[in-house]
Amino acid sequence: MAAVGYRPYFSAGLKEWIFTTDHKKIGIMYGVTSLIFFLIAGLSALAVRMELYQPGLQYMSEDTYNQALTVHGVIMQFWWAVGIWSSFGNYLLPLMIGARDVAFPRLNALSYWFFFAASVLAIITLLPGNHIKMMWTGYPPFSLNDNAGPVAFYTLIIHLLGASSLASAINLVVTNLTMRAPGITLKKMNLFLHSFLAMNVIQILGVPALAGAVTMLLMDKYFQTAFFDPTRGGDPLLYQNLFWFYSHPVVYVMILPAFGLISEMIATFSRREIFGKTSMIFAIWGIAILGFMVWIHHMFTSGVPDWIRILFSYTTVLIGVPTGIKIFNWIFTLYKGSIRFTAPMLYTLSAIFMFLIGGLTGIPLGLPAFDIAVHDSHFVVAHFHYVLGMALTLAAFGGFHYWYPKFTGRMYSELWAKIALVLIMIGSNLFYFLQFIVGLEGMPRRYADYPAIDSWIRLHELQTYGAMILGFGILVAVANLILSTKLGKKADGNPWQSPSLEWLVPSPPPPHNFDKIPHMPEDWDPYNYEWLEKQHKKQ
Amino acid sequence: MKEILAYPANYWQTMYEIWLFISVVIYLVVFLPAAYFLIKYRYRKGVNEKAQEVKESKALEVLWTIIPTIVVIYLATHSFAFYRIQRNAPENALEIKVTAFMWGWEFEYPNGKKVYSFFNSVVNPETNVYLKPEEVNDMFKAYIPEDTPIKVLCTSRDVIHSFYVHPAKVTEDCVPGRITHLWFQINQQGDYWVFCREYCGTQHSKMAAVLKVVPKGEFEKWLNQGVQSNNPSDKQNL
Amino acid sequence: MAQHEVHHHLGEHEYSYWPLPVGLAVLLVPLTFIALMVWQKPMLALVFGGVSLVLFVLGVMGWINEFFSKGHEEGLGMPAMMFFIVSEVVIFGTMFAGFYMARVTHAEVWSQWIPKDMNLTIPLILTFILWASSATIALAEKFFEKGKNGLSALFVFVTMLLGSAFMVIHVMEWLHLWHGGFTLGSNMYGTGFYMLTGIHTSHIVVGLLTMIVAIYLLLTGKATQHKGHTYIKAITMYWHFVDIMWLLVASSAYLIGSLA
Ligand code: HEA
Ligand code: HEA
Ligand code: CUA
Ligand SMILES: [Cu+2]
Repeated sequence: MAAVGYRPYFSAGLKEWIFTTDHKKIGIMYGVTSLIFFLIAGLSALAVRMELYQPGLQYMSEDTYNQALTVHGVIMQFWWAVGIWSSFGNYLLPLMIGARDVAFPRLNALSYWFFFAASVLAIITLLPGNHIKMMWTGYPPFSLNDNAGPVAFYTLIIHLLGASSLASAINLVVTNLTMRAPGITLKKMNLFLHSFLAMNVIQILGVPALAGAVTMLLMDKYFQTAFFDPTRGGDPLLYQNLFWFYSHPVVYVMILPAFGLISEMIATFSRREIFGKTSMIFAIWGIAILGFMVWIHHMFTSGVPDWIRILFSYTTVLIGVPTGIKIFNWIFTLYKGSIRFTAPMLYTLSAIFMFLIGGLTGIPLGLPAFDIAVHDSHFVVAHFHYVLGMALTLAAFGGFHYWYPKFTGRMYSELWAKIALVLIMIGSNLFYFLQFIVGLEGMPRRYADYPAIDSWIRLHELQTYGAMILGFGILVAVANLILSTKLGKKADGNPWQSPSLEWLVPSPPPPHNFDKIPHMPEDWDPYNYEWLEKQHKKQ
Repeated sequence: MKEILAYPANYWQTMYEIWLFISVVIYLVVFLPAAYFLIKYRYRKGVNEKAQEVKESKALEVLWTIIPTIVVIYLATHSFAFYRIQRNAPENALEIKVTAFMWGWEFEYPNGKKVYSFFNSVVNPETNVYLKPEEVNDMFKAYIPEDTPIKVLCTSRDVIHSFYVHPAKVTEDCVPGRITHLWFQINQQGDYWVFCREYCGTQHSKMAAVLKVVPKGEFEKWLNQGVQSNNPSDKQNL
Repeated sequence: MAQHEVHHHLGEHEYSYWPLPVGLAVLLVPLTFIALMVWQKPMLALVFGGVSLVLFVLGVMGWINEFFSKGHEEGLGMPAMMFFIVSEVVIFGTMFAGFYMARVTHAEVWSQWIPKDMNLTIPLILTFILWASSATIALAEKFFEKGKNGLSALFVFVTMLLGSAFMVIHVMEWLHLWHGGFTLGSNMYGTGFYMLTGIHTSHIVVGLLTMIVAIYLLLTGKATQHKGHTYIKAITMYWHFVDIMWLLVASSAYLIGSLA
């Protein structure tokens, strides 16, 4: 099926990359940018960890710590946890729905250049004189204070990222809804696409709220408006409300696609359709909708009226129900399957069990009676590192391995992938689990220095060791992925024997994906593994 | 029974234990079947090469929707009940006004006496390393009577800070333009930390204060020592 | 649907020169702002801004040209436009949230913030102008659908005149209030007032710019049922959205705002 003029990615020249409108190349550009920024944010996290190793300031000043933590938070959230899904989504969506490209290929390229522009600004803030030290939440009035650094960078980065996400979200939703090949009904569509659709709808509704919030920040700082100045009738909590109105749903923007990848991998490696696919789809939308009704749980101690706190504690914990449905469905997909323990499967299983810890510790945070003591402590930090630093990161790395033969046409090294996973699991559990304990003991977050309380010192020491092991594990995983592009064995089109459409084209796919738009037969389904075997027998 | 160090930390502790128990149970409910399936249905050549047909089970799906719903609603309601107590100070509480600023705390007692604590009063001036709470100069400590509920009314002069009483396990933000409240009671003499829990800039991590808990009589004596006249102009800073 | 035919020539549609210059132009906008406000280097800002403008104009023109010379229109513009408008509503929503939060929590002092010069006749006039423009653009769309491009262009032009009149009157009104001491920074009424009306007016500007392109397309005959149809429909929809938004903005900023 190879098309005329097909050239693998590595041999394509610079010109073919920077002017490309091909969704696969754009997907790879997103992925590479995301990964580079992940490493930057990871290294700044290690700097943070080094400083917390012992009480007192050993390696850096408070300002440097605050800057490193801001860099870590902002980049991990927006470049890694959100950005990486642009990579998977762009690459996989047209392939999975049997389309040649997205609805607006040029707009898609422009979305990437917006993302790139935000990356340039982020790099500039690393240069001396431009440091921002306001943390990823950027609460006013502090962020309007000179101590926080030039807030313009923060707001304009958010504007660029917002424009990028919005354009990309609209583009991909339209693609998904209107360009499915005949035979791919909404019900038959891959679960990854369902969660990706929900994610993009959340982006369309949420991103403008954040854009509005940071616009107010910019206006207050540079044009003397009164939004957040209580002496002139403004209110600092306005920002928090708008910020979390987006930034709570954004955690589902981050985790829903991860759930999607988990569904794909669990199904393929159990050789079974996902148990309760319909309830899975309802759960996705349940999470997306409920997600917009819980934002006050980040503000339980911020001075909002008590009855609002109680109301939002109910909506918050209810999110556990649809999430639980997903978890149970995954577990029952294993039931009577034929389970293969390949590297991506192991990453996926780890992601599920680590998410469970992260999710179950989210529940008490949603209870004001509990949150009152741990808000802004390392307990919260540990909660979101379990869901983000582990569940999401493991799912994304699982996805890298799973689609590696599709992306590159080669196989990664199974052994090194598994070694990396073991290192990551040991390191992160050592690190993040003790972070819970130090949080329960009251350690406030965003503290460059802390009093020499014996148990805190011991816990921080072990956490730093954990972080080192974790970082080393990630190094191994990334090295394996990079080196295998040259050293890996050649992979055939469909190494996992999956009937999902992206596996039915050659690896890597030709520029147009499909010479003829496929018509999928009645008995086809992305998880119908029998169908694929029947096809093989026919040939 | 061990005497409780501080209120309302006991409610937090109970909530914590309930949650921990439920979570461990849920974790096992998910993990044990999963582990069993993973072993039993692993791929084996010639034995388990193909997945078997499984019927969807409506009953099961309803079950794992209803039970978690009940559990979370129970948790939220329990939290509701506790939270009312954790939030609402007892009638007879002693009121202290706290004003946060970059980077320190101002405590004002009902008779007008004020105590200031600055970020550099909790560290060793030479090494800039945190002191132990008992090593901090008494001048910078907020005295608190033992066994007495304290209601804190908090606000801020510049940016948002957060008043966190370490032993009592309560936090509330101090927001410019608002007055927020929290209460606590410490039942043992000693020196305890208060930390700023909302990021507020360079010295955020040093924005601590020490509460010195003393017997009631001693507190009264301290309170009336060197009080300036009850001149209203003292309050202009608020 | 269009994509079922092999309409893209193999390899051809994978490249476009235009997204990159537009993206770089957009990168230079924040840099201009930063050079001016953060680094305090007006000359640098001028350079950035100038380069940005050139790149932007070149990029967009090239883009439009390419759109009309290659490939087919797949008719997917309208759903995209709808999603875009939804997100615009949320942006306005944030400003309304700020405005009403202050309006409610500061109800007692609000009356002191209302400037003496505030009157309701001007917004009434502005409302009528915008309503008229909504009608004219609807007519323009009707004529376009009947294939009468000339008449259509004429009505787009009338719409532009009305839109410009709206803007001129509005700006004069602003200047008047501003000189009376009611500024962006006076208090939350000032902030809310200028931000709501200001953001709304920025949408008017965008609407007018898109209409210039529309007139160009109509007069050169590039807008036909086959191509450019979506464009005309989309800008009509956008303009209606801006008009409807005006009702909410005016009733908040003027009516509810000046109620003592
Ligand atoms: C991917 C990211 C992600 C995800 C998925 C979640 C998921 C959840 N989060 Fe988390 N959260 C963050 C990222 C995320 N969070 C971040 C980044 C912050 C900090 C922001 C900052 O301040 O910097 C944060 C902070 C945060 C807070 C604020 C804490 C504070 O600042 O004081 C709260 C409070 O309610 C909370 C709650 C929850 C809940 C209830 C869920 C739920 O969705 C979890 C649901 C899942 C389960 C419950 C497990 C599976 C369910 C079952 C097996 C069914 C049975 C279960 C029961 C009966 C309970 N989170
Ligand atoms: C997706 C999100 C994500 C991810 C993946 C991570 C990953 C990590 N994070 Fe986290 N973190 C956040 C999101 C995330 N984080 C957020 C949002 C905050 C809050 C910020 C705020 O308060 O505003 C936070 C806060 C935060 C803190 C709290 C600090 C404080 O409050 O005072 C700490 C401290 O330990 C920390 C550490 C780490 C570490 C060690 C990792 C590791 O997992 C990183 C692993 C990666 C690498 C190490 C890089 C790759 C490896 C190499 C380049 C090889 C070289 C390295 C070696 C050989 C060792 N992070
Ligand atoms: Cu004050 Cu942190
Ligand atoms: Cu949240």
